[in-house]
Amino acid sequence: MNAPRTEGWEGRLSAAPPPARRLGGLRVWQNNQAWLTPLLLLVLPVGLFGLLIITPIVQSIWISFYDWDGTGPATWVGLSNYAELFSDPQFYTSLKNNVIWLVLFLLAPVFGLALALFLNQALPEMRLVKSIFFIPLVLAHVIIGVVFTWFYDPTFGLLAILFNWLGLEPLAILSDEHFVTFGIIAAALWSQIAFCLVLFLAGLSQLDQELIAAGRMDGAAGWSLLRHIVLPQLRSVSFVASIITVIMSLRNFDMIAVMTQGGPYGSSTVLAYQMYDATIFSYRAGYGAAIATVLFAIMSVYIAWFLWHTLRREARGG
Amino acid sequence: MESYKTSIRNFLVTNPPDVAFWFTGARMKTFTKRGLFDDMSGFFAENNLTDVMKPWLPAVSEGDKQYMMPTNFTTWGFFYNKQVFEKVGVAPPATWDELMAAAAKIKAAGVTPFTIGTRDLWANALWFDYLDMRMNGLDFHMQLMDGKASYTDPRVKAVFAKWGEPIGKGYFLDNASSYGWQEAIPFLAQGKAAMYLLGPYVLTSLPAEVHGNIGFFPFPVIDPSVPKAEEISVNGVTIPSGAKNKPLARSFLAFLAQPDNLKAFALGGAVLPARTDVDVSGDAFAQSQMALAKNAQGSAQFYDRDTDPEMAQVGMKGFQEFLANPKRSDAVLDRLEAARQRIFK
Repeated sequence: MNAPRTEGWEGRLSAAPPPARRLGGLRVWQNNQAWLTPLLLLVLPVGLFGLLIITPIVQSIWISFYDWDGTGPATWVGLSNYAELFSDPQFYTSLKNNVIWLVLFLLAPVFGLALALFLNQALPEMRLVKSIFFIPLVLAHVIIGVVFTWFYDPTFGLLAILFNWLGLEPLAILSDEHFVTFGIIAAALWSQIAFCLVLFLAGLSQLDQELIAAGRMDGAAGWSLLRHIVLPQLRSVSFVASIITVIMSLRNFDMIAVMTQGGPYGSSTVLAYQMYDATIFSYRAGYGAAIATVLFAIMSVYIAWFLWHTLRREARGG
Repeated sequence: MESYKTSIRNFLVTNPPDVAFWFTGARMKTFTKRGLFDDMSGFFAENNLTDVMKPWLPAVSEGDKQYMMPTNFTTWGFFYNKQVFEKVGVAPPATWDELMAAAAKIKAAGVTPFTIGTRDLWANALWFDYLDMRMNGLDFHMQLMDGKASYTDPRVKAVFAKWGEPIGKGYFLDNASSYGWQEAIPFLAQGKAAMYLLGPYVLTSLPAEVHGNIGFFPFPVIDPSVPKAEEISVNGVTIPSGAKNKPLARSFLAFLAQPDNLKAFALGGAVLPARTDVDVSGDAFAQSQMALAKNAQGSAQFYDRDTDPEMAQVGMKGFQEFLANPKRSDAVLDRLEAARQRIFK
């Protein structure tokens, strides 16, 4: 597939009339163009990637072997940051919360798809309804966090008013060590569902109408139409939606910082927040880096799976 | 304010400004240890400040050198709703027993005795600091802050037991960790709660017309034989070592140090200017705070200013948990002790 294009491109070059006096540099360029062009084009992106992604990763891993306060001299401590981390009860609380985040966040693609199917109707009123569902997507996470904190406020919040109206004792979600993580996840899901909704709406607009018409002729309707005709066409969208959701769930930090600061007493902390807490408030950059490294290792599993999946699909030519 | 605490470490190293405001004491030493603050020892004599700033110079000194200019200080104590006290018929208490009796009456009248917001942790540490200073004295408290005394010491357990009394009786605002320190103030202003152990930020957070209804009394006496130390937090301003215009910065600090300027700077935030010769007679609240500071038989700065930053973080999380679950006091103290042994090794 590539061969004819290359031929045409060389053909065009040789077809150009050679200038009377060729500069030496130009000759070198023309003789080596085949490998110089990709090299030049790649210098910038690879350089930036190396400088902004790879270097900080290597540095973080390196720092995790030191006892360092972020400004003063660093002392080599080998693996003792990791030894401490694995015996730190807060680490297991954070890890457990990360798992809860991960599992519940996978509801986002499901709800997103359901909403997208519902909103994907050619009615003029749907524009308004769609825009309402898009709102959380344009709001910053910090704003959503603040709004939900007010919503959950056990005295003045809407939820408390609702509970009082029903004659129930208001539930202080953000002060309860058992509910707090779920309270924050609910707020975060609100925006993540909107994100998945947009992806699925885009996917639905790309559906092959002929396939659907053919399916209908063969008697597919309702569930079987969705299951066998629509969903298979949304496969790549679903894949992207779930992988991004998983990564978002692992890196979530801003809402926790705004809504509870990891509290009460660390019960809503996740690894990303624990890393921040250790580095910024406790002045332990080395320990924070060790947490970051563990989080990176966990994320790598998903990133590797994502890469493997993508590469395999590209190899199949899909 | 909370984000300034996190960003100062970055800008001091990467892009130091000409002057920077910061806490004195242990928090200052965190940076002077690393040579990030300029030596300002000669500054006080040059500008005739040595005498008028004398009480605050120890807070800005490390060894015999000064690294900051004290600007203002914050006093802490109970702010109370005068109307609620009047309605229930209680007077500002002077002893712990009176405080508990007043709280019982207030609770019976359907008002929360103590409002508090612990989401950003620090407000709760005042209770620990004051109980420890009133029961065990300033010397023991400072030993604990320096990591030289144990959190499982019977004296610390006694502090938790004392603190557990009002907690157990439900005198504190429910679900305190749902609120930041500021979000707990409306309860006081609206008369839904009667008292708030905090600093003058209670006043600066409320509109001026409410100020007349907010009174102040110092933390009551628990053991009369223990000298009455107060929590007095001294703030200051420094010239970072990497500052570009140091002579200019020094002349700015000399300007700021003039009595009128320092007074305007401090009273604007309802705190007190760090100069003995500033006249605050026009401001009744400032006068009462000045008297509190002058009569104090020793002072601590604040839990998270006196102890190691990491210990402070672990400790304040422990206090937050204790306030929500007083039954876990032993588990909390064991965890604090484990942290102390790791941090102050």
